[in-house]
Amino acid sequence: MKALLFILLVLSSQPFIINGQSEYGSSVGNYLTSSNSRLNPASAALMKTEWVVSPFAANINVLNNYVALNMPYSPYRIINNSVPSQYKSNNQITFNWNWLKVNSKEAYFNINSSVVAQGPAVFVKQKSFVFGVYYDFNVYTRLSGLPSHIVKGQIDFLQSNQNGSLDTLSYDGFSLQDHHNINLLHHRYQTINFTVGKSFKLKNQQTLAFGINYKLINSFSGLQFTFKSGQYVNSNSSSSPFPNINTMMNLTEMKGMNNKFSIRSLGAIDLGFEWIYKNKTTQRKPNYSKYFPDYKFRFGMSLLDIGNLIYNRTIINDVRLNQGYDRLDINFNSSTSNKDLVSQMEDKIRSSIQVETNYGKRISVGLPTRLNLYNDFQLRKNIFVNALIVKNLRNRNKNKNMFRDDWIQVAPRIEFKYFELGLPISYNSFDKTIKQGLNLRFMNFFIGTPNLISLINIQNTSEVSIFLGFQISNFKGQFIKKKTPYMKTKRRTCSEF
Amino acid sequence: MKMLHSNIVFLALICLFLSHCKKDTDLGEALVLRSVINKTTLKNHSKGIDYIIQANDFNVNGELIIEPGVEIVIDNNLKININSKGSITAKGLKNEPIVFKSRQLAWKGLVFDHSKNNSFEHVKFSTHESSNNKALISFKGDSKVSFNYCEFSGSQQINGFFIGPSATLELNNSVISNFKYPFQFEFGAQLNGLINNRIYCLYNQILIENEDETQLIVNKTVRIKHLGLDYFIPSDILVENDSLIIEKGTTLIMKENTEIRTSNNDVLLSFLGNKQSPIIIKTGHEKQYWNGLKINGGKANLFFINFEGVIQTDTFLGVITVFNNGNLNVKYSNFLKNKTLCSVVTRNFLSKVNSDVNINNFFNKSKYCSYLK
Repeated sequence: MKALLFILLVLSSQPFIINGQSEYGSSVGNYLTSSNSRLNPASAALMKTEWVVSPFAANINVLNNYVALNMPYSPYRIINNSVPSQYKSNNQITFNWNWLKVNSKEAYFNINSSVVAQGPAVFVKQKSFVFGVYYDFNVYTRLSGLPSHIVKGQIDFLQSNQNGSLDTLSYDGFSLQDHHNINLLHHRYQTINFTVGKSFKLKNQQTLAFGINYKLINSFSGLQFTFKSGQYVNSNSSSSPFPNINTMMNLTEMKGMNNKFSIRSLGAIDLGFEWIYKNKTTQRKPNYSKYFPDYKFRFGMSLLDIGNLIYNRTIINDVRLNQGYDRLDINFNSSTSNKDLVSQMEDKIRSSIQVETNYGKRISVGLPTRLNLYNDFQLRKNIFVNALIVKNLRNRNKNKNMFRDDWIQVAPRIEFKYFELGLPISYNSFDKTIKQGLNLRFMNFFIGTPNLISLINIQNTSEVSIFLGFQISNFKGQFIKKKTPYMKTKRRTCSEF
Repeated sequence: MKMLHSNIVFLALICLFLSHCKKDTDLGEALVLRSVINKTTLKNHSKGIDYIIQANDFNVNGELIIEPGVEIVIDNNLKININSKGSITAKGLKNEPIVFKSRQLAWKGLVFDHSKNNSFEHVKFSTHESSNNKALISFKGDSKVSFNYCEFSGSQQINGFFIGPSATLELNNSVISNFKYPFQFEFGAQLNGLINNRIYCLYNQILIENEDETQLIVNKTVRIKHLGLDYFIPSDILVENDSLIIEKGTTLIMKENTEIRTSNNDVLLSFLGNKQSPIIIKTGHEKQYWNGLKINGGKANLFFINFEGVIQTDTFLGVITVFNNGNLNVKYSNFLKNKTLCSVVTRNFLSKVNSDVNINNFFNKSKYCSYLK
C-alpha cells in the first residue's frame, strides 16, 4: 500500500498543466462498449456483443506546473521492489524532500487533478435497443493563481526540516497590494448512469444510432476558495501614505446530500448520435460480420455532462476589505484611554472589513459540459484512423464551473478481436504541445496514455497520465459462429449452401 | 437470456425507486451550525430539518437572520446564547414557520443576555421532558425582544419565559402551552405588550420569583401591572426602599404563609385599584391562608383592594398591621373571608390610619383595632 501511495505521489508531482482527458484514447475503438458510451451514449447502441460487464476502469491525472519529483532512481523500481538500499531505512522506502524541484520560471502554482473511478458497468442488448447502467466516482480539483513563492517557501522549509511539518503561511513576499486571483475548486461526486441507445437500419447500408444517458448525481462534498486583491482606489486622504485596497475572499463549503441520489439533485444527461456508412469493401458475409466493425465511415457527435451539481447544504463566507488603512485613523488625545483606543480600532476595522456568512444557499456547479465530434475511417480491414475534437462549452471565467480543456486528437490504430493498438496524436488548448500517446487492448484489458514519453521516462518528465480498465462480454468467436450456424436451428439457410 | 435482461432492468428500476423513497425529513440533511460572529443568514435548504446545534452551546455574537421555513434542532442540554453584540431576526410566514425544537429530550432554550433588536414572527419553539433551566426563553440585562404570531410549547417542569428586571419583551398574538407557568418574572420585570395571546399552561399565572429564588425585595420602584394573568407570589415581599406600585385590576396570589411588609424606611406602597378593576390579594386555594400586610414604616395608599384568605394566629395582628411610624390610608376595600380578630391593626402611637377606615371599607366582622404597645 505504501508503494502504491508513493507511486501516486510520483504521478501527482510531475509538472504539467491540466489534462484529465486521457481516456479518449480508449473511447474510439469498437470493442470497449463501456468506454465508448462515456464518449457518446449512442455508441452503446452499436455494441457488438449481447452484453458487456465492466468491473472496473480508472483514469487518474493529478498534475501541476511548478513542482516536480526528481528521483535518483526510477519509480518503477518501487513496483519491482528493487529500490536501492541507500534509499531505504529499516527496509522501508524513504522519501527525501530534496527530490522536489521547482520550475522557477513559473510565477504561479497551478494544479489540476481529475480522478475518475469507473464501474461497475452493465450493458445489455435487446434487438436494436441497448440498456446500460454504470457507476462513476469523480474527484475534481483545480487550483490556480497561487503565487509560486508561497509554494517555494514551503518546499524550502520542508527541505530544511525533514520532519515533514509545514510552515506557517506567512511570507514577506505576499502583499495584498499585489494583484492576486487565487482560485481553488474541489468536488467529489458519484453518478449512477442509465443509458438507452437505439440503432436504426437505413437505406444504402447506413445505420443511425441515438443514445441518451441520464446521470443520477450524488455530490459528496465541494469546496471553493477565491481570493482577489490588489485593486487600487486612489486614496482621498492626502495625509495617509497608504493606498486603498480592495480585497475579496470567498470560502464556500458545499456538503452533499446524505440522502443519496435524491431526484432533487436533478442530475445530468449525455446526448449523442452516430451515423455509420458501409460499402461493399467492408461488408462481410451474414452471420460472420456481426461482431466485427464492417463500416467504412463512422461519424459521431455527443454533448456530455449537460447539468449541474446541486448543493443545498452550503456555507458561504464572504470577506471584503473595501477600505484602506488610511481609514483607520483614530481620534487620539492625552485623555484617551488604552481601552478607548482599542475600542476605536475595533470599530474601524469592523467597518472596513465586511464579513458575511450564508447557510443553505442553493449552489449550482456546472459539470464539464463539452461537445465531442469524431469520425472513424476504416482504411483497410482492421486498419482505422480516428479524428476527435472536444470543445469545452462551460464558461471558464466562472470560478465555480468545472470544465475540460479543448482537445484535438488523430489516432491511427489497428483493431482485432483480441488486440488493439492505437497511437493517438493529441493537442490541447492549454499547454499547446503535440503529444504522442499509446493505447493498448489485449483481450478484455486496456491501458493507455496520451503522452507516451512521460510514461517511459517517468523519472524525469513533465507529464504522467494513465487510464486502464477491464471488461467482460459474451464475445462469441467467429470460428464457432462460422462452423455452427445451423446447429441451433438444425436448418441451413439458402445462402449457406 | 431475455428473462435475465428483464430482471436486470427490473432490479435497476427498483434501485432507482428505493433511492428516491427515503424521507428527507430526518437529521440526515441538517447542517451543523457554528457560532455566529458576523452577519449570518440561515436559508431553508431542505424540506425537513435544516440545521442542528450539537456538541456546544450556540453563541450569537453577530446579526443572525433566519428565513421562512427554517427548522433548527438543538441537541440535548444545549442552549442558544444571544449576547450583547448579537441579535436574531426570524421572520417566518404563516405557511412557512420557523421551528426551534429539541432533538430528543430537552434543550435549554434561548438566553438573551443584553441583546437588543431581536424580532420573531411566525416562529415555533418547543422542547420535551425536563431540563435544568428555568424557562425555555430567558431575558437577562436590558435585552429587547418582540414575538408576534409565535408558538411556545414545552414541559410542565419548566416555565415559558424568564424575564429579567431590565428586559423589554413584547408578546402578541402567540400561543403558550404546556409549561408550568407561562412567565417567570424576576422581581421588577415588565412586559411591554401582552396582547391577544392564548395560554394553556399548568398554572396560567405569572410567577414572580428571582432566578436564584431569593426573597423578593424592593430596592427601587417596582410596578406590577395588570397583564390579564394573575401573579403568583411564592415568597414574602419586603419593601426595603423606594416604592411598590400595584396597578388596578391586578390579582396577586400569595403562597401559603407569606406576607407583604415594609421596612422602617420611608417607603411607599401604592395599591391603586378602582371600582371596576379592584386589586385582589389572596391565596390560590380557599383552604390556604397568607399572613397579610405589615407596614413597619413609610406610607401605604390602598384603594379598592380585596384582601382574602389572611389568617393570623397572633390576635394582635390583622389583615393589615401598622407598626412603628407606618402611615396607612386604606379605602373602598373588602376585608372578607379572612381569619383574623381585627382587619386593620395599629401597634404604635406613631402609627397612623385614615380616620374613615371603618366607614369607607367593607368588613366581615372585625374592623379597625388598636393594640398599642
